[in-house]
Amino acid sequence: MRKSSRRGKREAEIYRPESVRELLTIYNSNPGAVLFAGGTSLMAGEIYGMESEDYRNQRGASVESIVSLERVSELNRIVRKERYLEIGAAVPLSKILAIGSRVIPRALFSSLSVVGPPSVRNLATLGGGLCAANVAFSPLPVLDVLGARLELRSKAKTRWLSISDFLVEEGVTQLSVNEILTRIRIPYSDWDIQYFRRVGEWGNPDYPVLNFCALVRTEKDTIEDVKFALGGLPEGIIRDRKLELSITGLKIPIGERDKKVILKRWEELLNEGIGRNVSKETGELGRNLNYQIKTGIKIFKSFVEGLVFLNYSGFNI
Amino acid sequence: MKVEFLINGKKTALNVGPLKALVDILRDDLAMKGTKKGNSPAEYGCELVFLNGELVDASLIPAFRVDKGEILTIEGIKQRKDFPDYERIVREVLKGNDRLYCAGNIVMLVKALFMEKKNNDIEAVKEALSEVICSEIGFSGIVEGVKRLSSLRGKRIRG
Repeated sequence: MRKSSRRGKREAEIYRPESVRELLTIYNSNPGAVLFAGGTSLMAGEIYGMESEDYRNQRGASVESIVSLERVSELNRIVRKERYLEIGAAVPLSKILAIGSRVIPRALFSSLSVVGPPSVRNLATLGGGLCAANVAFSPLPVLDVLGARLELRSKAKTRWLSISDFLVEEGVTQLSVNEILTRIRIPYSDWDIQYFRRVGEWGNPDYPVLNFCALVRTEKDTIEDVKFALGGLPEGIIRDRKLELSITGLKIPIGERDKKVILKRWEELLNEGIGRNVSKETGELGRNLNYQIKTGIKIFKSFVEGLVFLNYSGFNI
Repeated sequence: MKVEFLINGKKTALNVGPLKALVDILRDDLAMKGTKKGNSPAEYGCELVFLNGELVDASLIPAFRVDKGEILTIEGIKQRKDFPDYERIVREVLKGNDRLYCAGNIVMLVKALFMEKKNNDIEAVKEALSEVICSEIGFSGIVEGVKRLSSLRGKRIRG
């Protein structure tokens, strides 16, 4: 390991593998290594939860080795198949967006477009955003309802997980030691309505981010299939397949009685989901969670009530 | 670690920590103060540079990533022939006050729009310029400025 020329501190060793095989070998022998894809969360100090200015002053002090994913060819390509789109974990968001909204599901396109400004999207990656497990990462609920699968690889095995199985809660994923996220597979599916909405401001504690995505398939005025999820809450993604099924088969516009039942269930779901944290948290965090519950209810209500317009306009993001 | 790169066309080699941010390398090690620094990384879009032809936030680029790379900063753009075009837009929208903190970043953003040939795409222009948060500038003024520059350049090409 190289030594720093300053203050006698040990300097992080940099590895630049060119294949997944090489990457796994390096990662296996350096289990504490930091995997560096776009590095936006790491450089901004989000991963270590440190105040940015403090972090800037001592950035890298505790990092022993860094594995740059920039040259790993398998992680930096996008593959289009007949049934799905496969995105390498280290592909920058701007490169995904460059494929265009005709190839990428519209809701995913919209959710990627709101991640930072272009100068950040040129660096940030989908895999990095998923592994950082920041629940405010806008593509999370979108990938969940689209049925995306994540490939996790280690030297010993390969496994595929859904988004909701991968993300445990804020900052926590199912990634095991020596395991890496290699690709994200997004199945193609026809949806008449793809709805994505984001509220709040990244990094602003007074306006915490919420991301809502809904996909609807209709036959004339009847809902044939519907999927929806809310991201941004500390517990990860809020989704209820039972509630989705209860909406399937309803006519658009949804009748007042059904609407009332649906909205009540959604409200219960959010309160159940966030409630445990609300009771624990006081002060600013508690206020923010209450704000998130109220906002999450409003977003869903506006989606349910706006379904009639969304249906006639084809889709609306 | 030793990093070697081309900065504004000039070969440079430095010994820096591998995770030192490019914005700090520019300002502290190379005394290039044209790239400004926000209170926190990626703030207000004030740390923009081109790395290997792509507009990036210099606060998010670690030293190891610039090794063997090519960097273009506002100082480098100032030496280019087309700089007066960008300077004019900035002077117009900042009403002559081109010493404002955000002036260099507006130049970088407008330059990126032209490099990516997105200068005629109003939505792209609006999105790119939304990166600059400055109470002193009129947003619509910059959009109009980009439009005028596009048309001026079109006329120059067509004669």
